[in-house]
Amino acid sequence: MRLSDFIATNIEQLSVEYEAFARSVNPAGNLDSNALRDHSSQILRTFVVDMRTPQSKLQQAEKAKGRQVRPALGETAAEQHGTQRADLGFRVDQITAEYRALRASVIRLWLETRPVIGMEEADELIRFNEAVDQALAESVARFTVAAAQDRTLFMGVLSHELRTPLGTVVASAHALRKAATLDMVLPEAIERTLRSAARIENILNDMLDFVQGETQGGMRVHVRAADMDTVGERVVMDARSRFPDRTLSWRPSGHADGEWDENRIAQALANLINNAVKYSDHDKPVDVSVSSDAKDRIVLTVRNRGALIPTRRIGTFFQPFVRGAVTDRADAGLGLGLYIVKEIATAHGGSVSATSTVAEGTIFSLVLPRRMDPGLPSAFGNLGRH
Amino acid sequence: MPLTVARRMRLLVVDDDRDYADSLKAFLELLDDWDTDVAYGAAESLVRAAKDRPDAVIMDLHMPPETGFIAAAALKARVAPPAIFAMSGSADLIERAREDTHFSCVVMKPVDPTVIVNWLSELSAKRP
Repeated sequence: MRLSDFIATNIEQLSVEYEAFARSVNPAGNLDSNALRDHSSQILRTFVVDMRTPQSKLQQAEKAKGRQVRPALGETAAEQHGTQRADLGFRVDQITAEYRALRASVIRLWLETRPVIGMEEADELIRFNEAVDQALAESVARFTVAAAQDRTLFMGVLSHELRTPLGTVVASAHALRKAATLDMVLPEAIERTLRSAARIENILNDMLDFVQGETQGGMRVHVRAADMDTVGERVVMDARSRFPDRTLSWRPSGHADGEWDENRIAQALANLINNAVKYSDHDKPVDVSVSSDAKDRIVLTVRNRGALIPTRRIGTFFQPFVRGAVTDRADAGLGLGLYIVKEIATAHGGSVSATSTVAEGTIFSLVLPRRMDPGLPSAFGNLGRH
Repeated sequence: MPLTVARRMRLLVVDDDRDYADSLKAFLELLDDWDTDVAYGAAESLVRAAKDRPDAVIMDLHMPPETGFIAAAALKARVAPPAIFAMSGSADLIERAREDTHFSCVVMKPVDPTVIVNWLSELSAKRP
């Protein structure tokens, strides 16, 4: 059977294989099966049409240089695919891996049919590879544009978040200069200046954590013996004083010793609580608890009641630069909070997840082994351990 | 003819960032040339304006879920509309505000408070 005919008759099976792979590289863990299959079967159909279209030597040469005439108006399936992958928080190597897997599985399954390979078959194989490269180029081009938009958006948010506390510092300094006697304005100006400086520092710390997470193989943690109940209680007490008008319930486990980086765990829990307070109904409590699961791992949960989060969006919350993450609150910050939680969890050999249901509300769970397995190579290599 | 004494200028600072609004108010109050009030949101600014009828409003643009644009439009629809000074930390909003005829001055944060003072002095000079 010719390759183009093979693809045309097996689109469904090829899509299923591809979907299984895409799921394995998917960073967000929230891919909609239909969306995945739609793209892959459309892309495969494009390949078939392309391979069956006669092509002159000149057209082939032009295509190889990325200068072929666009076959259709509007977005191609591969272009839509690139934009969607950016939305889902993929990296460019993951998009590339998807195409590599698609190419490999099509060729492998075709060869399993034991085709007789003559000049025509060889020519079709070349046409197939050209079509895959073309689709990859289209996807990456769109992906790059979308990723650049995310960065631009992020820089805008960063600038905005820094400028307001900076404005407070400037206005306070002018007040101090203008005041006839300093005690007219001094105490409040000092407090406002310090609060603004702390806000700017927090933003810069988040930026630093982000850079470390992205470029240095993951966040560094310094683990030592700790008690999660003690850490949790400290964070909850602190949160209660920061949100005096909110109810925060606290339930320790009674048996939560292990080895962690206390400061980082406290930061992660504080981020989860801030998030829960920010995005929940004002009159509803936020419930914080420590427990252990069947594998004797420690589980920190933060639960709030409020608007439900659609399941397909939950996974993207832990990604930085997720598109659509425009701040809709004055105090929304950089949108790095949950990403940092994920980095802290990963650095401890643990994980973070979220569920949102009418019955239970929105629950974020941080699952951490009591101590890291020193023999187990983890995603962050040995960089995270000191 | 009874002598009419011009009433003091009334100022309203609007920003959902309390520290920022309060620090601007603290500075502007030191000048003693006007009465300064503060509102921490767009809706609150309309309530204040209905009561105090300010001559000038210093308006932040990004106050989710509200915006300074909507508040400015509502304030300008009043019988004696105030002059409105727009400020924001977002370059996009600053650009948008420059196209918006409701604002007579548009400045990126951090705002040099002396720019506000100059703007107010000009307004004050133009008053009848």
